[in-house]
Amino acid sequence: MSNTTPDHEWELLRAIAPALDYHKAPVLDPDHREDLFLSIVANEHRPRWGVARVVWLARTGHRRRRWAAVGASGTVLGGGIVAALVLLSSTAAPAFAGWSADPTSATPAALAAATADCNFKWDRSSPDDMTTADAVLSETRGAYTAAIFVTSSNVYDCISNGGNGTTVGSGGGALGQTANGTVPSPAPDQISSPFGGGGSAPGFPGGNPNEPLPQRWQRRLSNMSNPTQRARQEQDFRKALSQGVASFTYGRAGSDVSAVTLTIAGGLTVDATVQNGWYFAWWPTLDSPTAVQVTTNSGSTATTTLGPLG
Amino acid sequence: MPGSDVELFRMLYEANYERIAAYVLRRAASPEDAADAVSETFLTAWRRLDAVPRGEQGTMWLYATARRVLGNQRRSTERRHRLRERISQQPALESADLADVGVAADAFSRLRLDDQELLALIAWDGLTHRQIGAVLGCSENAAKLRASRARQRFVSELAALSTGLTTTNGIATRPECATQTGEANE
Repeated sequence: MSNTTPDHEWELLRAIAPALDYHKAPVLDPDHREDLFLSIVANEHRPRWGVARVVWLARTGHRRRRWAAVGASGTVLGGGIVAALVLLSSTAAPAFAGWSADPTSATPAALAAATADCNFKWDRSSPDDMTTADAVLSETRGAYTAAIFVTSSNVYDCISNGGNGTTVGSGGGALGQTANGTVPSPAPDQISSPFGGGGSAPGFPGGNPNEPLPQRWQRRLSNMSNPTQRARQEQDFRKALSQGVASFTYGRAGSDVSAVTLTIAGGLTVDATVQNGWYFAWWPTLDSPTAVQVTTNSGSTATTTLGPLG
Repeated sequence: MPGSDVELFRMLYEANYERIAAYVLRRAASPEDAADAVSETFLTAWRRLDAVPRGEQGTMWLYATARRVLGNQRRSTERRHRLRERISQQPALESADLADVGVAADAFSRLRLDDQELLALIAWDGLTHRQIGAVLGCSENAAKLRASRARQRFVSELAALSTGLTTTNGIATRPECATQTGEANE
């Protein structure tokens, strides 16, 4: 090797970095990531001020995942005329106290209250000053107000009922946010591939402790060889279910998109809020969306089947 | 509305998991060891949540904790030379690049572990000198100086390998040619 320059030396150092094999490393698996969190907070007692306190499962359990959009146009859903595609039925949604499948505009007061709730949580981890960030989208569903904030460093989501039901998150990376904060906008009649997740969310409606556990929790239990720990973990999972669950999805909407409707496994049909080039929806179950219908201002619609969590 | 411990830990966890997992995975002896190390790092953070600083300093706290956990793992398993094996598992490169990378990997593996860590924190994890100082518990200037010296030692090893020399404490020497009476040199 001939004499090296500093740039080349650093290039060589970067080149010898061990590759991160996502297929072989359990630590990079989203299921493992979430299960580890639950194990830590569920099985550990954190003495505080000399008093041992039993901590139950994650109080903000949203897992960030990307639902695979299985459509002809790949990751960006296309507009057009509905042909022999899935017809969305107007299935009556099960009732969830404090939640509505149809969103309404958030009042300034409701938005301010939700922002304040979420700001308190972001203060511990967000590098952004959320008090100066403007919401690009806001909505109210029953007792809950939600908003999306876009800063130069991340995209933040917030859902709150002004009480004990508040959850926050971020997803700039998954949404393709660039270094200057821009989140790519799709074609006028399209939406970006749904990004979202779900998990335990205390204070949120829904959640039947006796319902079948999500597959990822079932896998977690099946991997536990100790029957006592397995029983305790299942008990913690079901307590989390009873305390409330929520799933959400959001992304960019093209300028000609007027409506986005999600079909959720289990029978829910959820209307997303479409505002300022964004769409957002959340629902109080752990079921994934199975299809999404995009409607344009001219009335044309297109429906794409969604694959499993990606 | 005050956040509960679980909520605060969730924030810390979500903000830092990927970086810490990548840091650990590049250094652990196996994917399973990496999983153990990540688990222990965040378990430590949960147990000592009150001591974890806010924001970026919290991230550096986690790096420092992960570093200690890996050190303990390394001492217990005595696996110190995994880098060469990992290089061979990486995707194939251009022949010329592969040769350079191979030499670079050899040179890197000959460095002291402290030097390896300093250079890796910069090249693999993208930390600044100030951040490295926070992880290692020294000033930014001290981190900058140590990184400079580590790079110089890396360059010395590169040069030595390129010319067939070996180095001892950064000083190039010619390998001793061992011969035995009555046997011909090959």
